[in-house]
Amino acid sequence: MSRGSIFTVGLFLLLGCHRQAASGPAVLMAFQITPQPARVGSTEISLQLRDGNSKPLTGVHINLEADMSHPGMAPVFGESTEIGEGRYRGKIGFTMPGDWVVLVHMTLPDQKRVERQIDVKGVEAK
Amino acid sequence: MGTEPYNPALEMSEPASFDLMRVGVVGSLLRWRHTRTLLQIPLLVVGIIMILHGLLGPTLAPKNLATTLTWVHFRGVLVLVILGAGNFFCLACPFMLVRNMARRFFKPFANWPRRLRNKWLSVGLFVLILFLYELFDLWSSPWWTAWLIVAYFAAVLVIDGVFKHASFCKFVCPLGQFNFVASLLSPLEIKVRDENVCTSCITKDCIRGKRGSGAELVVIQRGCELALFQPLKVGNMDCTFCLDCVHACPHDNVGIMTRVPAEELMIDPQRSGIGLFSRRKDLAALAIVFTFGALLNAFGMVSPVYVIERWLAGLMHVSHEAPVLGVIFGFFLVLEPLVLLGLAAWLTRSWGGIRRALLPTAVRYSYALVPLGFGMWLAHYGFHLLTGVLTFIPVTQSALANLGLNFMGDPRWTWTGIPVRFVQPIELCFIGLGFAGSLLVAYRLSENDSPDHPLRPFLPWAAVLLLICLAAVWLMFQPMEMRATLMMS
Repeated sequence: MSRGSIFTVGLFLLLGCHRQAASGPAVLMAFQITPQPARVGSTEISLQLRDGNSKPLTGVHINLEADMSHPGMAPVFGESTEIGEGRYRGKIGFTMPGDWVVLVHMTLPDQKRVERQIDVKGVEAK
Repeated sequence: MGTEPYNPALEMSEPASFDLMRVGVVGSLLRWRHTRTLLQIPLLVVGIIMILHGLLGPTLAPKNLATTLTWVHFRGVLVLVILGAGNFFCLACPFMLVRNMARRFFKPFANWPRRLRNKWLSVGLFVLILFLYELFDLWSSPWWTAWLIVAYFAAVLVIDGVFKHASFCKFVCPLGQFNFVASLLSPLEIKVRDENVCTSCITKDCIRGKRGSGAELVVIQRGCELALFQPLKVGNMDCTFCLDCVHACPHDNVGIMTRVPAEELMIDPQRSGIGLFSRRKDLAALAIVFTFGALLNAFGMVSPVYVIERWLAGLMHVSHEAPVLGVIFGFFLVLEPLVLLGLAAWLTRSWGGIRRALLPTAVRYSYALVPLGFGMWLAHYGFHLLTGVLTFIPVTQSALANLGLNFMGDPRWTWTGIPVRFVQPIELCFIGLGFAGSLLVAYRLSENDSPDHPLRPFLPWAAVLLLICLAAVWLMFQPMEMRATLMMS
C-alpha cells in the first residue's frame, strides 16, 4: 500500500468517527424550570415522564446533576420526587451564572437506566 | 582591549553555578539522547486519547477528556512549568514526535520563504486561535477541541513536511510563540558553560549538527533547527529546549543553567537567530498580543462581556457573534495598545527627552509588558487548574467505565479542586509579581535610555502598567459567567 493510500485511509477512518446515537427504553420527558429566567440559587425542576405509549411513567427514581459548560467546575446534585402520575419535582442549586446542563439520571422500575439532558442557557446572577 | 570576540551573553549577570544537567538522575536523564522521545510518547498517547474521546465520547465538556485536559490541566500546567522551570512543553511536544516519524518517509525540500521569516504569521495565528476560542466556545465543545488537536498535527506534518528545519516551531506555531514569550520569565536557560571552549571549537556542531565519519558526512545528531548558535544565543526566545545542541556539542559544554528571570528583557544585545529585540517590530507585536490577549481571554469569561456584546450587537444591528467579537478584539488588541503605548512613547520622547523615534520607542518598551502579561495568564490558567485539578479523575473513571473497565470505581464527580476563596489570593500574587517584574524591566530600560533622569521616561510606562494591572485585578473579581451562547438576550 502506498503512503498516499495509508494517509487517505487514515483520514477516512478519522472522518468516520462519530458518536453512536443513544438507544434504550423510550422515555418522553417534558420539563419546566422555575424561576424563568433561571437564576443562581435554588431552582425547581418539574418533570413529566411518559413511556413510548404516552402513558405516565411512575415509580422512577430520579437523580439530578447540573454541570457548567466549562470543564473543571464543580457539578451540583439534587433529587427529584414523584408528586403525581408521572410527575416529578426536584430542586437544584446553581452556583454561578452562565450556561448549565442538567442531567436527569433515571432508574426505571425495571432497573433500566436512562439519562436525559436539559440545557439551561444563561443562568443569571442573583 | 578589543581582541576578545564580542559575546552578548556577557551583558547579562554572571552565570549561576547551578546546572540542571549536572543534577544526579535528572541530569543523566536529560543527557540521554532518547529522553525527548521518552517524554513525547506519553503526551502523544494522551493526545490520541483526547482526540478519540473528543470525537466519540460525551458531548458535555466537563465529562470529556479532550476539553477537561486541554482547557483545565494542560494550560495550567504549561504556565506553571514555564514559571518554575522553563519551556519544557516544547521539549516534550508530541507534534514533533509525529513530525520526526513522518520525516523518515518525507524529506522536506524547501526553505521557509524569506518574507515569512518573522513572527507576523504566528502573531496572526495566535490572535486567530484566541478569536476562534471565543467564537466557537472551544472550551465547551469536545468535538471542536479534538479537531483543533487534529488540525495542529496536520499543520505540523504539512509545514515541516515541505519546509526544512523547524519552520513550524519558529515561524508558525502559536502555542510555541506563547511559550517562547512566557519563558523569558523562566529561571532556566540552555546556554554554554564555558565560553572559552566555544571560542576554541572548530566544528560548531551545536548549530551545524554532528556528522558521521564516513565519506557522505551524514548528520548523526542535528544541531539547532531554530538557528540559535549557542555561543551567541541570549535568553529563551525561540528556544524549544529540544536539547539538540546539548547532544551535538562534542565538548559537553551546553547545560541548562539558572538565570535571573526577565533579565534578558532589560538588555538589547545582538541575539543569535533573532537579532536585536529593539528592531523586531514583530516580536514587540507578539509581546503586545501576549499581554493584551491575556486580558481579553479573561474578559471573555466574566459577566460584563455579555452586556457589552449585546450593546454592540444592538449598535451594529447584527445578530451574529463574529462581527461583535471582531470589534471587541480590535479594541483590545489594536486600539487600546495603540493609544496606551503610543501615548506613553510620545511622553517618553517629549518629557523624558529620549531622542529615539516614536515607533522604536514603543517597540523597545513594549517588552516591559511581558511579565505583567504572563502574570495575567498565570492567574487565569492557574485558577482553572487549581479549582479543577482533580476533575480529570472522574472524567477518566467515566471514560473507562464506558469501555467496561471499572477498576477505577464509579466516577467521583464531586472531586474538583481547591475552593475559589483560596485560589483568588494566589491569582492576585501572580498579577502582583507580574506587575513588579514589568515595573523593574521598564525602569531598567529607562535607566539605559536616560541614565541621569530615569524617572522621566519610566513614569509614562509605569502609568500604563498600573492601568493594565488594575484592569487585571478588576477582571479577577468579576463574577465568572461561562456561556457558550454569547449573543442570547
